[in-house]
Amino acid sequence: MNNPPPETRTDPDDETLPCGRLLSQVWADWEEGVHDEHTAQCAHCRLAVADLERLESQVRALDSDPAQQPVDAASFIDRVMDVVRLELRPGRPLPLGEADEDLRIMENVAARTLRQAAEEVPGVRAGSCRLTLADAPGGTPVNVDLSVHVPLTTPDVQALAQEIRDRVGVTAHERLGLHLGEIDVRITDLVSEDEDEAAPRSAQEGSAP
Amino acid sequence: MSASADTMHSELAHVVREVPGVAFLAPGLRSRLRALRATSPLARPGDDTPGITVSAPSGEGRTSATTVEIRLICRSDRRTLDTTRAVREAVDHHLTTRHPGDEFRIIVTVTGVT
Repeated sequence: MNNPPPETRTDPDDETLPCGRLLSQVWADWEEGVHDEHTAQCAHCRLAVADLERLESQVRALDSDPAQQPVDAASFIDRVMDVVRLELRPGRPLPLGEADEDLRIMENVAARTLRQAAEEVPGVRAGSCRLTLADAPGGTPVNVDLSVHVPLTTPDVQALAQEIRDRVGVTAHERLGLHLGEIDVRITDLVSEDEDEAAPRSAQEGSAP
Repeated sequence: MSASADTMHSELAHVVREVPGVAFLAPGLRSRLRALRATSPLARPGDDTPGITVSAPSGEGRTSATTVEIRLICRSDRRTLDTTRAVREAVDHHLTTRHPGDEFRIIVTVTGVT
């Protein structure tokens, strides 16, 4: 299989596929009907094209369903980006239960549940939630790295962080059955009530995954 | 997909949907694409059972068994792990009953919670 060298990145958000091609180029070629031997045979490129087609079908479905008509452009874009995050970037499968049970949950699904758990603590707004497999013998715990905004008026930030940690741990066990390892809570900002109400959640901090 | 494989997919879909805690099987990409554009390169006749993939054994290592992967969306009112275990158990029981002597590896993947 022709496997070209990694292409030069021009966009920091662009992704280089394991085969060396830029995701943006693979998608552009597909949209323009450009076919070559590599793309036809490369599993990574074919998967990338499948992802794009899935996104297209999701967006068209949103657009064609009268009950789902967006009320404004911002709302529509938010929903499209939700689809992008969950459908195009589902993350890795994480183990549920014991390692030999072959039970999995996609990273973004688990992350969304844990972010919601953190936000059950009054005043807390969750941002990114990264889940990584812990390097532990005999088990498959998942480490959590969660960033949050908390109220400026928080009297004891450390106590609040512990409350968030506890809530996330309990949720992972009771709602998902996910075996967690370390839970790191990073407080990335202290926000006033006014700021919290004014800023849309997605603008406060990236939420994927 | 052969008629027997088609039947197997349909039966498995029914078994999975009956498990408490299962909201629905993950939507099938190819089915949606077929509805969207008949010329899709991914469109293949007969592959319209969403969320279920059956892969024949490749003869390498653990994959000597037929692999059945179930992709589903779980209901949030039940513990996800309990639902996936129940799905695995139901699928295993079905396959053992309908295909005695055959070996299967069952993978259950949660792609959403609703």
